Amino acid sequence: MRGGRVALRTAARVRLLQVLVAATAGTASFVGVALAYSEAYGGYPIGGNNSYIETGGAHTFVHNGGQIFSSPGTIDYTSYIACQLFQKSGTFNQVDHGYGICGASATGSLYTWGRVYNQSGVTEAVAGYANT
Amino acid sequence: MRTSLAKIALVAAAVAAIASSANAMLFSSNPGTGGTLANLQALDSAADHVMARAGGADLAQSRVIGTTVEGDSVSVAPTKDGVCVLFSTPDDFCTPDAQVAAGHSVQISNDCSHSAGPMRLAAVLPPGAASTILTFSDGSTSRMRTAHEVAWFSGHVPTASEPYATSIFVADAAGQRLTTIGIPIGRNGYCPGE
Repeated sequence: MRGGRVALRTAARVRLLQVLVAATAGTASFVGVALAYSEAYGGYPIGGNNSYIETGGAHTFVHNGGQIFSSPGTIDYTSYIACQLFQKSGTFNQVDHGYGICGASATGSLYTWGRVYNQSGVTEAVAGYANT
Repeated sequence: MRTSLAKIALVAAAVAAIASSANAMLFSSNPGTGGTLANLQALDSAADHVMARAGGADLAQSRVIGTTVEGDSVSVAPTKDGVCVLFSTPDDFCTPDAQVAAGHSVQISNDCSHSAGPMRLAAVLPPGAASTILTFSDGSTSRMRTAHEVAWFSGHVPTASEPYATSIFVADAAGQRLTTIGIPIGRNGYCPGE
């Protein structure tokens, strides 16, 4: 009986931990109650003809950076990518392109989505990182 | 009271650690991204010239080399293996010398909020470069502003009926061709999500 209660309590704790992980995945910093938000996304191969990875939602992002990789840990500076910060319902839409790495910026006063496009023509791993 | 605050601090620390672990797991479980999080977190700043800082620019050594048509200043700052180009708008970029030699030094920044939005194209040029001409898909050309082996051009995103930039002709001080740098995207690459 007591063993059953302990198991239930343990299960509840595990569930709480799962909820916390789900709630905080992608949120890396806590400063008082004014929460800074950052999100790492993508990190897997996508097609090279403007396929993209995207943030999990909109936020008051001020920067969205991206990188493309030829092999684990090796940025491919011969491949072209584009970083985008944009509103799905609104007018802001900034795109910055570069070899290997890119970064788009916004004022942080708008709720924007972040994307990173593979414009290399070949399938490669692409990762993005957006922060408020 | 003190105990409650300590508990809150402990929970906050635990949550932050969990979030950090979640990110680490996300990246370590995917191919091609070893070290990605550390690199990308270098961009985690709203400070001016975030890209240049992330690229290792020595901003104390930066110098203004010109202006854009819109009046924005254009500057350069050295890195340990190349150069960063800085604008007064947040569209900096950095290019190692090896990339310049390979012709991979073109950076494009454009506004996709409306048709034919503003576009700026810039490139770091090889040593000895003194002038540049931007060539378009219909064969037309336009002179780029060029200084200190950097070229830049202000235009707009090409519409469906307009020519788009295809290459940069680079010449030395005598007007002799040094190289031609290809533009890596075509008409549909400027606003890829549309």
